[in-house]
Amino acid sequence: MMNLLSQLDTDYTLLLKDKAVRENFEREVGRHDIVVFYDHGDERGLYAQGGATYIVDKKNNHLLKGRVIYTLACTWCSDGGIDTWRKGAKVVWGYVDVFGFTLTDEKLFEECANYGLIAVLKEGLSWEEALEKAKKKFDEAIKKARDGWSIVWLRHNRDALVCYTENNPPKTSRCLFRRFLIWLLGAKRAWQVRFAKLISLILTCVGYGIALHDFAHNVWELKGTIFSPEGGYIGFSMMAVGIVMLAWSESQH
Amino acid sequence: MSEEIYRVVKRYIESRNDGWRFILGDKVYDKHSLIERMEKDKKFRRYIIEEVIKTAVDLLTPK
Repeated sequence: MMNLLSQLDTDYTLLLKDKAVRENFEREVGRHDIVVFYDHGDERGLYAQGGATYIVDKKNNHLLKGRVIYTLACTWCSDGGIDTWRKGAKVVWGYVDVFGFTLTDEKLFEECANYGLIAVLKEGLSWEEALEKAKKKFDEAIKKARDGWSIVWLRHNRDALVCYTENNPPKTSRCLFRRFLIWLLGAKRAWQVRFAKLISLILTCVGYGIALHDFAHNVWELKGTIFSPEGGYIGFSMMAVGIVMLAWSESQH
Repeated sequence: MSEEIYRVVKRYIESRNDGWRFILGDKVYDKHSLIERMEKDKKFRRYIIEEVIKTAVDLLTPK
């Protein structure tokens, strides 16, 4: 970590050891655009010192809205990282599986783990470009590794590395329906669908259909035909135009 | 087949020196503790074998 910070030459707040607790994170996070977390984690969150609680979990990850979170914590990006990105984090960089390394080739693992941040802050790459180059950095490290076991885990870490951004959204989700939408619409469009809006649109359309059918049936009982110049039809037409306009304006955001 | 791969993996780990360390998540293994876990924990053994197979496939895939 200190090696990485010395390479970046930037202002930072260090939360080491006993300072690495939730309260300190929540107090300091507002002052920084980038949060770098080099410690353990799991699907749900990033561990606080001691591993008994979380520094970041689904209850406070909204604090990362508009910020970059860069971590090598194991498996966080398989769920917690996705949720953080969904709640507005600008960039979520991390791993969807456990991070493994050997001491034999520790330097190579370190270079690969740090590379994304250096590529963006020092080389001026975009996060998407940095991800691509970081994967290539792992490929280079695989060729340089002295231990065959290192090759296995460099390959493993490379494949587990992800970077969620606006242009590179998660390709999967724990939610079955979201996975179906990703398959159907592609990741970028699928993540724009909000369930509350989707359900409200379905309810509105079904309710509209039932009401229109009922009205037409009453007209048929009174006049013997459903085709009759009634004020109700004008009202239904106006509502239909309104629903289409609302759906269109929502899709523009 | 996977048992054959496991035997090769085990032999490879046994051939490491005593100072050899492998860190996976929050666990630190030396060659003895890694073999011990693989012997006892079938799920972990399967996971390791899968990773070795994925690496072999990756290395043999033309880039």
